[in-house]
Amino acid sequence: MAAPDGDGATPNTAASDLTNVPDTVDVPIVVLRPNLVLAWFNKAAANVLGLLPSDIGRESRNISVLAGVPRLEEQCRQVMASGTESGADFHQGHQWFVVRIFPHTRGDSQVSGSVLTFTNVTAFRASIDQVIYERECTKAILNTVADPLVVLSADQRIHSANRAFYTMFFELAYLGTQLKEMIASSHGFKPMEVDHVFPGEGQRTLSIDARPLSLPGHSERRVLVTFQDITARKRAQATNDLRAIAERKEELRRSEAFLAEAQRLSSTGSFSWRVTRDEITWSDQLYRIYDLEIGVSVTLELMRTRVHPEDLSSYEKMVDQARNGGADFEYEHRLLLPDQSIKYVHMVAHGIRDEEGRVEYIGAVQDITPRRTAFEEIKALKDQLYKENVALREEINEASMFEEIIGASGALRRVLLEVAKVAPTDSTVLILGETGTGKELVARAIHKRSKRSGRAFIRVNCAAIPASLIASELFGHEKGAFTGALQRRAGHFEAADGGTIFLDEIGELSLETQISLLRVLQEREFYRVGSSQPISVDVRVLAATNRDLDAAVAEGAFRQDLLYRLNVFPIRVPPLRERKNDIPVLVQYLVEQFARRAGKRITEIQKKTLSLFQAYDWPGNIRELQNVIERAVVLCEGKVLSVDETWLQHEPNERPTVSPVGVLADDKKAFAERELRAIEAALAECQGRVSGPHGAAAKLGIPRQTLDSKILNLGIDKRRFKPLSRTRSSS
Amino acid sequence: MHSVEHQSDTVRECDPWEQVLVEAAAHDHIVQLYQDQDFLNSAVCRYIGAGLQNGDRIVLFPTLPHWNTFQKRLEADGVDVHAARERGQLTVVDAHELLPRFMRDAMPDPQVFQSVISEIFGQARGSYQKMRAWGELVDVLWERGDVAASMNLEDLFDQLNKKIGIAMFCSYLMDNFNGDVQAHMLPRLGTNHSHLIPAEHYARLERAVAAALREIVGPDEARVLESRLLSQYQPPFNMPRPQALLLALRQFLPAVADPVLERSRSLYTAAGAA
Repeated sequence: MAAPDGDGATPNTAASDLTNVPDTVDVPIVVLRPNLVLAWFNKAAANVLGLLPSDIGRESRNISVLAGVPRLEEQCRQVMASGTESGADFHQGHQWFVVRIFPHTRGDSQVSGSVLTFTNVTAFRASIDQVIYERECTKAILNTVADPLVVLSADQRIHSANRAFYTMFFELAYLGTQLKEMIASSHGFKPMEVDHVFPGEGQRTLSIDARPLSLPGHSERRVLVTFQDITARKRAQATNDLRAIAERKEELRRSEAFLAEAQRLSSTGSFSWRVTRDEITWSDQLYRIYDLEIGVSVTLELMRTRVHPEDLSSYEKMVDQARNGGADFEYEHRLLLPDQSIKYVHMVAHGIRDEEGRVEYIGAVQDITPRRTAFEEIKALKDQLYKENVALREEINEASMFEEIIGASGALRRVLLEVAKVAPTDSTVLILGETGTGKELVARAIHKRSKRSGRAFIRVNCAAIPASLIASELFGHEKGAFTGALQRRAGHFEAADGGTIFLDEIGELSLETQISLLRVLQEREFYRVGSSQPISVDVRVLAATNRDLDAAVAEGAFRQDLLYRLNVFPIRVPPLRERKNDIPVLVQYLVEQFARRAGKRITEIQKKTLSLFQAYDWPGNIRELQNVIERAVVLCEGKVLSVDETWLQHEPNERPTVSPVGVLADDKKAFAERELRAIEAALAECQGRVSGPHGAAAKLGIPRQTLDSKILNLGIDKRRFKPLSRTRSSS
Repeated sequence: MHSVEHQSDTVRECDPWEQVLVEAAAHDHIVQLYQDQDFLNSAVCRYIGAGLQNGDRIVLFPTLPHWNTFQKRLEADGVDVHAARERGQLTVVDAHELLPRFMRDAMPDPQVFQSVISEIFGQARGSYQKMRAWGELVDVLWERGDVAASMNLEDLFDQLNKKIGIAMFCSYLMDNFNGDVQAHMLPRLGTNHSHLIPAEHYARLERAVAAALREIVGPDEARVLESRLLSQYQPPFNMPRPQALLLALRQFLPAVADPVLERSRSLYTAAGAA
């Protein structure tokens, strides 16, 4: 390479071997004389900067590449003057150099020029630019993340962080210690939540996650820590949790309220019973059912005190079975409460066994008293309906035979007149007459014409019921009142409530029953057998007998006071022999009835037969006539009905044997007595008044003058029937 | 070595920071980091003296010990402090007495602060066109360890300054060669200040940083780094070039920043001791 020339700068001989050394380095080296003329350059300078040998001796300002170095001349002069190095940046094309300028001194230390070295820093500069770019990119990316991020070095110093980190954690970042503690408490990079108090902001909850960063080619360990402020979320969650809890509490409260209300409305309480410890828990409703103060400690013994004495044994049996078996159970019993009222309860329970085999029952107890009462009432009604149904069937059967009272004889008309008079009243009627004369028909006629005709007509044949059961039949009985009384049962009087009871064959009643019947007639109330609770009824009593009750009274078989009560309005039904004129009509009627039943067509009755009927005495009265006709219809093979004479073989004047003491002994006297009683009854009902729409004459259906005449003839004192209070007030 | 260094150490010349303080204008918010009490005294008294000389209204919030020092130095510099206070040009409010008036729950209450400080500034302004303030309210909090409170108060002062347009100056007892300060505090202070005075001797700082960088990365690389980093780095507020280089290093080459900073401290301190 060109050697510096002039002013003795030529290398000496000893060093001549080193002259080529500068050409061995790849750093361009340029030497300028003090006057800034190019004195020398090495091979690299020629190669890199493009200096030519012809440039030697030219001023640097005229060498384009050197002219491009900023402030080169100024710096060279300064360096030469000060003896200190200087530097400048320089680039040629895409190549960047750091130009360092040193003073060039000779052996005598005199500055003989400047030495310029050109270090190519293109690659380094590019790498720095790349680093800057990468960091700026990283920073920009990190700053786009809304949540704080920080990269920590191994000693937990902050290596880099985003803006959000500094915004939120400035204090922590500076103080370091707190952050270290937070990081240190992250338990080996496991995500965690930390509550931290920020000055001015209060406590915030942070979710911290830390993960190691592996940097390729670097052994340095770094950790990326991310923070998420979850305060709002936690608060919202807490709020939601609280709201959810509150809602659940409210739901639970409502559910409990609904359950309690449902239990109250259904009269059902619930319980649990831990058998091994005898721990019993009750719902409020159960306390109410057992009439216990809510909250008292419940024990089996306490429950036992409420069990009806009659149900105690079965109750204890049930408890024992449940305790020993653990099986589900269902049980119904009565409670006897402190006020002596009785409740019916239905208990059902399901047994649950825990892992150790201990049994706990979960169950319910329902107060079924109203249901039970209703059931009893329904049963009573059912009984009543049954009876009414039976009575109705009987009535239909009877009515089919005696739809109307057939006949037009004077005797019968008198009876019908009495029926018409007494029917609208509630007076007790005693119907007298021989067997088969139609006493029941008369009773039904009275009922039918009365205001009770819409209600039941209960017929009781006192002679057909055993004496031991007659009271029970008439008045009913309580459960257990006597052997066989398995259920409570209503009697005929209850069945006839609002209607009419017809006591046929009244003369057959026992004296004991007569007393009860007398009470009904007097008080209009009675007792069921086995009960002390009186039952009030509104029943009209019609009685009938073929016996001579006066004689029975005389014999002590019938109570006189009862007779008085029954004999308010006696009606005597005449025997058929006293109304023979009615026989043809009766025969025709009966033949039609039986022929229809038998499916026969009978259009005529043999005259001889009719004559036989009219000649016959008919001790069995219409029932006998009915039997004879039925028999004749069955045997009849044509359209003409006839009977065999032998069927009517009784003595024509034979007196009825069924009436040991002839009731017809003195008809006039009897009639006078009945007339007297009817008038007195009417006067009593009308409080002694004879005339007017509410007077006794109207009640009896006869003119006032006729009644006055009868009262006079019979010697009746009308004043006896005047109300006492009026008499007193007028006096 | 630079010949300038000898001049700066032997001949009292106006440092660039002095120029900043002398020429402090409305809306300027200058922060000084100091560890040497004399530096604090010099800076504050220069700021006050220049203000009084300019005819500005001065409001100070010093601690009492500091004020006593300032007062002596000002009077030594020929400032008639008493007269200035008498004529209402200078108002001094004890920082320890003032702080509790607007602090609530360890944090400044913005509304109370606004009310209290505005009242003081309003009373003080009087007929003066310009006003400059200096205080160490924030530094009191800083030294207590109430970092968040101190930064919050700085924010409030900065907001107030933007509103009322005065020159503000505050001083922190803070080590500029501390890595955490470089990494965290200075960027934060950059958000509420306009100028940073990081050290007393700027030339010494520049030489120390340049030499440290050359030592750490090599002379040619140092030159490349300096040019490349400073061309890319945008300082958060006005500061001397070597300080910007240190912050740029921390931002772009944090692995290099710490050793350079540490070496810079040594060189800076050594130069001061020489």
